[in-house]
Amino acid sequence: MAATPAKKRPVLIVAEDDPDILHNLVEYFESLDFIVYGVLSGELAYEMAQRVSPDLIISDLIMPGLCGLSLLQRLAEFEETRDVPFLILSARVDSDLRERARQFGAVDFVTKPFSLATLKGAVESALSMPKAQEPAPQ
Amino acid sequence: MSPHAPAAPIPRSKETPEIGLAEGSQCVAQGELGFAPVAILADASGLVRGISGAGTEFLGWSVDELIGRSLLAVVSPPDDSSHPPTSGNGSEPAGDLESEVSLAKSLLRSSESRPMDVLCRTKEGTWARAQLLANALGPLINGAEGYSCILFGWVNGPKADVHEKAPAPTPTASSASGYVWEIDRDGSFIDISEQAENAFALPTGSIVGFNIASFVPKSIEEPTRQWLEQLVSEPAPFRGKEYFVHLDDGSIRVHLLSGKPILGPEGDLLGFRGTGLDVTTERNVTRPLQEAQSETDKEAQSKLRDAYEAERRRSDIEGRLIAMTSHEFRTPLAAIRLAAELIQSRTVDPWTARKADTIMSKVDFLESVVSDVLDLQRIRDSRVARASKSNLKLETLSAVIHRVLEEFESEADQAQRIVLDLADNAETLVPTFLVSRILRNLVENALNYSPETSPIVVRSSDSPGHVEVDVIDGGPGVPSEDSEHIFNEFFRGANSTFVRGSGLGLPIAREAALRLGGSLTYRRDPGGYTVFSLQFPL
Repeated sequence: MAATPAKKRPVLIVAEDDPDILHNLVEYFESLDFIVYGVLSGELAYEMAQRVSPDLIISDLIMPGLCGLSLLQRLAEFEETRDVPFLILSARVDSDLRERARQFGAVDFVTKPFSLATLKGAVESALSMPKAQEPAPQ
Repeated sequence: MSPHAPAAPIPRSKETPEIGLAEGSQCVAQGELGFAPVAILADASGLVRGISGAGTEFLGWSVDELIGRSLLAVVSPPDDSSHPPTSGNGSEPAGDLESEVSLAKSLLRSSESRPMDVLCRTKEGTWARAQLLANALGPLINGAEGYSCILFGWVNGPKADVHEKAPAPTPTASSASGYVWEIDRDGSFIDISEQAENAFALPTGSIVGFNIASFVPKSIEEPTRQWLEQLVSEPAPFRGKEYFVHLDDGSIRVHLLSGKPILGPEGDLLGFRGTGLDVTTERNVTRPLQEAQSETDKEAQSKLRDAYEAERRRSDIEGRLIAMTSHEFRTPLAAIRLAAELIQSRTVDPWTARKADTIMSKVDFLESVVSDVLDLQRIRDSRVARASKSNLKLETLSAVIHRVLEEFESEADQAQRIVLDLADNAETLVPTFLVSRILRNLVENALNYSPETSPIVVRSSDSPGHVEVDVIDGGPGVPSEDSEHIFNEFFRGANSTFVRGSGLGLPIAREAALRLGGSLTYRRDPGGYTVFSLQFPL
């Protein structure tokens, strides 16, 4: 396990409506020394994001109620959550949807089923991105 | 079907009228509703006897007349004191409407398809409970503004009696179908509810990603695009826009679209979302089919229509099954893989680690089969063929080839075997998805079926008006007894025992080549090389 005692433990919200995937993701990221909040819906993720100032949100795309893209869109309305990197997990493979997710501001799109190495890589890369989005070049 | 218990109590009228829509029939109402879906009670003759909310405007109408009609007018806002929830017999306490509204809101937010009890005011002035089935609803408009939704059928009272007494559902009532859609600012569908499958006669997977204008008859494609451009330049809500959908069987369906702009945080236009309603039967645009001149014609048309319907149903089922395969299989596969990988990461027991490895490996194989099946379906879908002429993403042949080869770079020794020999026409624009899918499969096959020391050549030839790409390897080639079967689905040749594959790689490649208007052929060169040759016209 990569020990980083001097650093603040990163806070992660995982929104996934499949409880088995959610529990295992929570267990996995806890083992990587994240503070993990697992939620079963977009609505709960939204509420949680207001409370815990996450460093990263991982969200399923298709969930009952608030879907991943709507969650992302709603978070973008608030200054506190606007710049939180947002990583999408989805069973959908359409390239158009990936593109759409990027346009909405998602930093990455991981297709289910995934390997932990792929997911970990995507998470590390998302966390290493600059916090605030720089204005687009003119 | 027993009534679904509501989360909050709704007082039950002591005198529930024995009325309701015949089971199996649908009434679809469309509207941008401030707060609630609308339920309607009809008697056995199809006349509206009760309606939820406080509106009474449509009492006594035929349900058929409500198809496609906006019901905004019949719904009063929750705080509208001009429509208090009181009625002739005064059997319901004040506040009923509020409960109803609250339930309706929770239903709308849930986006689930589940029954809900609602109160309806009857023509006789009493109140009755109806069961409303709302499908694919969601907060389409900012919560503060309200919701846009599609409403489906409901029943109330002793359904068996109603069903017996009711006439057969009219074609209008059963054929109308509403759906919820979302497009980006270019007009491509980002999302569409499953009810659209009837209205488009296509699985939703074949609608999402394609431009709204690509489904209209050729003759009005341009006006449709102009309408879109106008909409993007001056974004505003719209209602009842006629949208003509050209089905693959040549028939045309009429939809009514209503929608609103989706704005980003900076007020920038992201796209539009709203509702659509297939009102074809009501508009009778299928008239050509129905207006056969003679009895013989009618009979022939009827047989044709039956055959078409049967084929369409079969194709629908197939499409749905495949869509289900993708979306429903991938999630449990992800759960299995994740659990197996966690087991492997925690165990110190080599036996357990090996077994977990087997599970992961089989999950990966299943995932590849699911992907292949989906790709084959997607390529076969005529929408891809149609879109390839105007809407498909294009790239230069050279860029597509390089992109495909990049996918093999993770296996360096494999990638080193590939030699490129590109002619000048490699700068020609070709459809990315189809060409890359073909070349990926061919290169993968060549890597799998030829000796590790043998080079693989990807060669494009300069032939005017045509694109020609060969993938050549020095392997033993296809056993002669297998050569005529290699493009058949799920065929696994005698030499494939130790090569993992779904048996769909070459069928997918062949299908994609056909969609390009070209061909994919196999031959054994006199020099002892295996050559798969792709050709298609520009």
